[in-house]
Amino acid sequence: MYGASALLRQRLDRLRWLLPLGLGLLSVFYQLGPAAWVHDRVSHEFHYIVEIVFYGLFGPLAVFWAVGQIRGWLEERERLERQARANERRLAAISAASADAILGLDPDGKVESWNRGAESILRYSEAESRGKGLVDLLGGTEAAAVEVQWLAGQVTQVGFVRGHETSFQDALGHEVLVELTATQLTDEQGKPFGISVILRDIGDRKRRELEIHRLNVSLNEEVAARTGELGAKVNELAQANTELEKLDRMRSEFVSLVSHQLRAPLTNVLGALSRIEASCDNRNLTCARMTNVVGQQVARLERLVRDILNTARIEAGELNLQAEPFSVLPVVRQVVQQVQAACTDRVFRLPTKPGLPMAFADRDRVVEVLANLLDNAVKYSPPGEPVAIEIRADDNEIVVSVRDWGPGLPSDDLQRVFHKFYRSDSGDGQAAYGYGLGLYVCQQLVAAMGGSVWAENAVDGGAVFSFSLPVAA
Amino acid sequence: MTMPGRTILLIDDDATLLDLLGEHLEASGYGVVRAEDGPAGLDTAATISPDLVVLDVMMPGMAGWQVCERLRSRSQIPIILLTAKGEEVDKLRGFRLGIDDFVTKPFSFAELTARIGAVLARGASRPVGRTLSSGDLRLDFGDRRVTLAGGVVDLTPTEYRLLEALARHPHRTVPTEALLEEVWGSAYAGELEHVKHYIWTLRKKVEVDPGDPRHILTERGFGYRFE
Repeated sequence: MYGASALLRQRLDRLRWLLPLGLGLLSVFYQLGPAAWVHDRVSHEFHYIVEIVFYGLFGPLAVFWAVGQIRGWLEERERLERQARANERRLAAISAASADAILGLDPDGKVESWNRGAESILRYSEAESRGKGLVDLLGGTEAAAVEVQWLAGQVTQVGFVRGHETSFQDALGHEVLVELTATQLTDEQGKPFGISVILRDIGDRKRRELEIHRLNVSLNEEVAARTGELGAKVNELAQANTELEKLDRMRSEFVSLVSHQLRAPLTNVLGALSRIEASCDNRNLTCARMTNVVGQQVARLERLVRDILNTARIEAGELNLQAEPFSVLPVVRQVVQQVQAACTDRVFRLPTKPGLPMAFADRDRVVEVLANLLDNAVKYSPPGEPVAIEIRADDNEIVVSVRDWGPGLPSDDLQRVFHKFYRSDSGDGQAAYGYGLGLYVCQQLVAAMGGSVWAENAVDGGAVFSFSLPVAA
Repeated sequence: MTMPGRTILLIDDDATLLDLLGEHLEASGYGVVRAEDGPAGLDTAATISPDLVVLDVMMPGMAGWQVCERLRSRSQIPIILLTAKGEEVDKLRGFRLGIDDFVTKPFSFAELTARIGAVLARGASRPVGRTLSSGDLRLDFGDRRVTLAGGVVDLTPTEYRLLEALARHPHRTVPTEALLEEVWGSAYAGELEHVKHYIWTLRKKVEVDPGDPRHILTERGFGYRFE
C-alpha cells in the first residue's frame, strides 16, 4: 500500500516538471526554427493558422493526456490497495486458523497478536496474552531470560531462528514442548518493528519418539538375548553334530567290522565243509546228512548277513552302485546255475529269447536281487514244482519275472511283502515268505537302479515276483 | 579249470583260512605258500616268485591295497583279491592297480579255484611284448595303459579286456563267440548285441573317427580284427 502511494507521488512529480518543460521547449524550438521559415517562405496567414493550431490544440491535448494518465495511476493504486487488503485478510485468516501458535511480538518481546493456535497450545485467551513477555511464557526463570536473550540475538543477527526445540509454560502451569521458529519483522525501509514467533506443539511427537526409542532399546536387548540363545543353540547343535558324526563313523566301522568278522568264519565253515566232502569218503549217513544241514544253514546265515549289511548301507545312504550296460540273459543263466547247484532236484525254466536290449544297472546288485527272488521261489513252492523265469522288454525297460507254483500271496500282502520286517503268512501253516529283509533289500536296490519291484498272483496259482531295469541308451 | 604245478601265494591273517584253502588248493594240484601278513607275503613273493597271489584286503598292519601296490611295483604277477562286501570294493581302483579278479567272502573254495584257473589261463595267453603300437594308438599291457596320440584313454575294465583280447592277435579276426567267452565267460554265449555294444563304446574311445574305424574293424558275420 505504501509502495503504491510512493509510486504515484513519484509519477506526479515527474509529470509536474516534464509536461510544462516539454511544452515550453517545443514552442521555443518552433519559434526559433520552423516558425520563421513558414512566415517568410509560405505566408503570413499560414503562419498564424499554424500557431493557432499549435498553441490551441497541443496545449489542451497535453493537459487531457496528463489528466488521463493521473486517473489511470489513481485506479492502479486503488487496485493494488484492494489486493493488499485481500492479502492481509487472507494472511490473517490463515494465521487465525493455524493449529500452530502464531505470536506477534513488539520490539520489546511483548505479545501484540495471538492466534487461535496459540490459545489452544498455551491456553491463554488473546486478551490474557496481551503484553505478556516471551520470558514469562517460557516459565519466567533465569534460564528463560537467557534463552530469550539468545533468541533475540539470533533474530537480530541472522534474521530468523528455525526449528528450535524448547518448552513453554501454559496458563495452567504445565510444560508444553514446542518447536519454535522466530523471524524478524521489518518495514519497507528494513527497520525492525517486531518479531513473529511460530510455535508447533511437538509433545505428541516427542512422546512417540521417546516411545520408539524405548521400544528400540528393549528390542535391541531382546535381539541380544535371542542372539545369545541362538549362539548357545548353534553350539549345542554343533556338539550334537560332532556326536552324530562320531556315531556314524562308529556305525560304519561297526558294519565293516561285523561284515568282515562274520564273513571270515562263514568262509572257513564253507571251506571246511568242502574239505569234508572232498576227503571224507567213508562218512556214515548221519554225518552226510548233518554236513548237508550245516551247508544249508551256512547258506542261510550268509543270506542273512548279506541282507543285514545291505539294509545298513541303504539306510545310511551308502549304496555304492556301479552301473554299466549289460545283457540280462547271461546274468539270469549265471544266477540260475548257482541256485541250481544248491537244489539239483528243481527244474528252472529259462527264457531263450535272443536280441533283448541291454540293461543299465549294477550287475552284481541285479545278481543279488535275482538270487533272492529265486531262493524265495524255491523255498515257498512244493518240491518238484518248476520255477519259471521270464524276460520281456520294450524301448524303456526290461522286466524280469520269477514265477513259482506255490500257494501265492494273500492279496493284502502283495505290497506289504516288500516292507521291512514284514512276514507274509502263506495261510497253510507253512513257512512265510522271507524273514522280512530280503524283499525289502530287493526293492531298495532296484529302486536305486531306477527300476521297480512288484508281486502278483498268477491266475492259475503261484506267485510272480517281477522287477524292472532301465534299458541302456 | 586248474593248472597244476603252479605256485600260489596265499596272504591272509586268518590262519584257519590259510590252512583250509591251502589244503584245498594242494589237493587240486597247486603248490601253496602261506603268509599271515602283508610284509611276510611281500618277502615270500620276492623269494619264491609265485605264479599267482591270493590276497585278503582287510589285514591288520599293512592293508591288502598297499601289499598290492608294492607287488605291482615289482612284477606283473596275477593277483586275486579277497574282499568282504561291507568294504565296498572300488573295482575301478582295483583295475588300475592291476587286480585280475575279486572274490567276495564268503566264497566257496570251488569257485575260488575256478577263478584261479581262469586268471592263470589268461596270464598264459598274455602278449609276450609289454607294449603294442598301431598308428597313434599305443597299448601298454604291463600297466594296462592305453594312449591315443599321447593322451591317456580312460577305459573301463571290460573295455580294456576286450581291447586286449583283440590286440593279442593283431591282424587276425577273432570270432565274436570267442570274444564273448574270453571277456565275459560262457554264460554270455550268443549275446552278440553285447559285444556289438562294447565294440561301439571302445571305438568311441580309441578311434579318431568311430564311424570310420582304423584299429577295430568288423568282419561282418564273423568277428572283429585289430589293426
